[in-house]
Amino acid sequence: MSANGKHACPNGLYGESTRIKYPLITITIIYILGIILGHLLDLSYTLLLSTLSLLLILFFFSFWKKKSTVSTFLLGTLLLLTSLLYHDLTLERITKGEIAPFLHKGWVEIKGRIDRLPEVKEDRVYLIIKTEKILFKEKEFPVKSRIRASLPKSETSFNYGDRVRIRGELVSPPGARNPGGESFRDYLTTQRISALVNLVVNEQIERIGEARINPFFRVIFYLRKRLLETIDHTLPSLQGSVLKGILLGRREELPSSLAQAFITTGVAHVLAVSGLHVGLIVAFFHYGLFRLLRLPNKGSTLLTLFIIILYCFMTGCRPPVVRATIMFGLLLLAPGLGRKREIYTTLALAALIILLINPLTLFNVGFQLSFIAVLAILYLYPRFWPRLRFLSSYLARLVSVSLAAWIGVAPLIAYHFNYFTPVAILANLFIVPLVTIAVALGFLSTIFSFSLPLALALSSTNWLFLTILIKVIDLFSHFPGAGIRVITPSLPFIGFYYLGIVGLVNLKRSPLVRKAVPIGALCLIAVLIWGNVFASRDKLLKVTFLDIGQGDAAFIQFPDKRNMLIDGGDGRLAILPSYLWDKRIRRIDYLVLTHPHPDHVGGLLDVLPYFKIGEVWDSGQESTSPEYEEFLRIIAHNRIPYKIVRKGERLSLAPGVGINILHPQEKFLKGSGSEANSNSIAIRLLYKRVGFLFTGDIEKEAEGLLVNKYGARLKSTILKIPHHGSKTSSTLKFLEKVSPECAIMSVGANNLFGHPHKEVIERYRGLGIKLYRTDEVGAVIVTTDGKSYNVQTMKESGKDL
Amino acid sequence: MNLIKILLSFIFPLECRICKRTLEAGNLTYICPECFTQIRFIEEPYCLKCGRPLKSSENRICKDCQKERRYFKRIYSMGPYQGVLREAILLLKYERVKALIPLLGELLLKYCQENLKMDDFDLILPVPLFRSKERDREFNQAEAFARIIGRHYSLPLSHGDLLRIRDTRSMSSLSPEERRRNVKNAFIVRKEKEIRNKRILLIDDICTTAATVDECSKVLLTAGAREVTVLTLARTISKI
Repeated sequence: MSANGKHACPNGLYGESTRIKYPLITITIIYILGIILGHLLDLSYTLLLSTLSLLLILFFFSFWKKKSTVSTFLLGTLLLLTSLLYHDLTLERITKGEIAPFLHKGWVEIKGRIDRLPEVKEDRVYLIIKTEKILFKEKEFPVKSRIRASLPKSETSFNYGDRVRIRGELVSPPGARNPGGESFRDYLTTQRISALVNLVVNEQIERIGEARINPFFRVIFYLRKRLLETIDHTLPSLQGSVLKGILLGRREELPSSLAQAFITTGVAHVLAVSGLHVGLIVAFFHYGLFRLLRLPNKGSTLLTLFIIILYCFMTGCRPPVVRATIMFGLLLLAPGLGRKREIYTTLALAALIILLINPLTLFNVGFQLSFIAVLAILYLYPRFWPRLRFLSSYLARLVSVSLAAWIGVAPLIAYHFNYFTPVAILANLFIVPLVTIAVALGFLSTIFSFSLPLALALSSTNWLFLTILIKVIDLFSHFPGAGIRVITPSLPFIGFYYLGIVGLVNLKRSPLVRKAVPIGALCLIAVLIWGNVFASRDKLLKVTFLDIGQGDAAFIQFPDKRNMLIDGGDGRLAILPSYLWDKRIRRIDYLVLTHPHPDHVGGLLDVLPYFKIGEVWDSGQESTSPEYEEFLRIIAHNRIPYKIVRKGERLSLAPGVGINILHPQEKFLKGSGSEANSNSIAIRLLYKRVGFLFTGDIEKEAEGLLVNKYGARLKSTILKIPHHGSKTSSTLKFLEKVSPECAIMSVGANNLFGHPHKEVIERYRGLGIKLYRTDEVGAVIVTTDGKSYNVQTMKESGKDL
Repeated sequence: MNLIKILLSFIFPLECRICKRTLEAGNLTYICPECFTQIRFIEEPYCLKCGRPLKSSENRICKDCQKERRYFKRIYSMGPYQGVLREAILLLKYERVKALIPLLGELLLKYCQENLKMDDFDLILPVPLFRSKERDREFNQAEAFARIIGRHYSLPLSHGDLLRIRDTRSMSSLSPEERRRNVKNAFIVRKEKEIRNKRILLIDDICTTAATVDECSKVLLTAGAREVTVLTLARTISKI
């Protein structure tokens, strides 16, 4: 297509067209920008509406005056602001909509209809209910919002479309508890779910009306059931669980080690029903079965279209499937309408439709991965495969698709999951063909399930391919380049990455790009350097008391960029690694374990293997807990410097920063309530005039000892409350000597130990000490320049929960 | 109806592939009328046997045609395979823009009018596609043009007398020798009776080395055809 540029139209019509060639693509891009701006900016409606009306007047004026460039520009701005407004309104409708007055108001009665397919995860069933009426204080209010209820798995009798009555407390979903942590509320918002309902007793939900389902959905549910039954009857559970994952995106039966292998190999996309599947269905029916049956083209197209729409609903209308269904549908229809296939426009339309239904879907991981993968394939694949033609044509195409998709999704995978999986490029070469076969055989065996021997024969063949698939994934998950953990890339980095790809592709083509690339590179370097210069200029010390559920974890960032981690919680929530990656930390200079109890050492087991560790400080107490033994094993295996610290140890870091170990003594305390607790490492950290006291789980004996030894020298501005606020600690004498201004309690909500004790809280209150509890406010972040300090919490106290 | 059209042109913008100008709502050709008029018929000098464009007009028959045996009587090509004509054929073959068929057909008729004596033919025969390929593309472009010419000159159209029995590779990346080998024994005549003693006009879209049409001619002559003349829409001009 080289010579065509010269054959321009003679009439010189170029000048006339300020009109946009591919309006849908432009509209979609502006719309997405509007959503992003709405997400970033917090503008008042008055401002937005007045700007909008002003722009509208200007637009009509310029339109009337026939200033086409100006009016196009104004129209674009109008669209941008409208989408921004639409984002804000949607967000408000979901989070502060009709249901808001009933949140955190105790028990209410709710009537509604189950709105989506019940979702099973591990031992729970989740129901999404569209509310109709809420009975509150003996009055009925019409409320239309979506809420989520969680039931034990045995409660599987509920179906899509059922009308139910629920008694329970409506609460707003929890937001992020730690910096960079996942916000459950944001996740539910992308699903248009406004609230959770807490059922204290399971009987508090009952069916009050049968499902009223239209025939279309009845067909879908029948097929879905039939498919699952066929799989259950004809395949062993392991292979069956994989096939269910592949065909319907149901992961709940997949063994977690295998699910993890899919992730570390970077091929989890085959478990999230995606465009691949819809493509396979189109190929299977339109180009395979229907052709074999010699169906006329028009009939085959329409029937295939119907099938993919059916499949889209069958798998629960997740963004990737909706995207693929819209795209394939339009691509199938185009020739019949006498139209050329416009793949980019089709992609834009799919995005526009999904985002018009809910603009917040833009922040859904599945949406992002799906669109970026397709964009990358569309953009890079045609450029890759001609260069790989030395391979066979089929292999060249397969490699190109795999490589292109991986290049597209890699930064997002790193951003959302902290994984870097180059092995995926190779793994996909094997997995995509295997999955293709598995999908085809899976559907075939369902179609032929009326005849058990036939279905069984098909499934047995599939068993072979599924077993190979499982083996291949297992093999690749042990390859180098599988499951590498990385820090969260910054948004500018991701932006530069994608711009860089576009730049590289166009390097030869356009002189403009040739100039832009070095400029871009310089900008990137400048940003990196300036970022570091600015960051190191403010000499701040930052202590983050993380909310890791029950247990302790505090992360200290010293003014000289070195850091220290004191304890790691119980590790059940795996919060520490993602927090550290999000803070772009690869190295921990000092890792301190105050004492070997599981709620302090557990989380460190997630940290040790993935980070460079400068030095481990331990109290050196003997313990036979499996977590502590594992802790020592990893240290020995990775040859991490290990040191037992005792009272009197000192460390000077950066000007003005001093660390003193106050406890334990050379000879351990004996005969106290818990010897492990009593011999916790206690650290006093002083930055110029601001002091911190970290106390581990010391109890009254150790507190007494400290008071006797150090007296007024214990004085600290900020105290990490000993032993999660247990009644055996925080003695009055000790508190009087430390006399902190603030105290931070690391404690899990509803923990088994009954921490904290009421009396202890009263004691702090009585002394006028400002108290922060991680179970109430989430993570607590203390920043100080050595003179004054500032306390931030993830949430406002209590209310937000 | 109009609303649907507007919506459709949002999803499938209609613009000229050449000058990028937006087309009228009903125009599904993807080449605007102005650009279409730029298609030129092939100009002399060209080989009087195989129709290949020549550098000078000294020899009226090219070297290859002097050296090698050709089964066809002569090849007529409407225009050089470049510019607008090339884009049009690409759109037709690979993007299935069927709206271009009548436009190109009209042009082809004009070419026939000016260059061919249509009384010399008894039968019009399009170069067949392999079955599965024709189904993929939903039509055989050569057949579509053959039908237009046949209808206009009231000549009988052969349907299924010649068959392509192998799914031959795409010619575009092959050398002349490979092309010859690629189409060797790829065609058979199904009903020799229909062919016998006929003067055939063989229709194809593009002609580059003439390997395909020569192989077809050979098969047709073997089956008893009196002579085979070839008419193609376009002629590749670069040397291969």
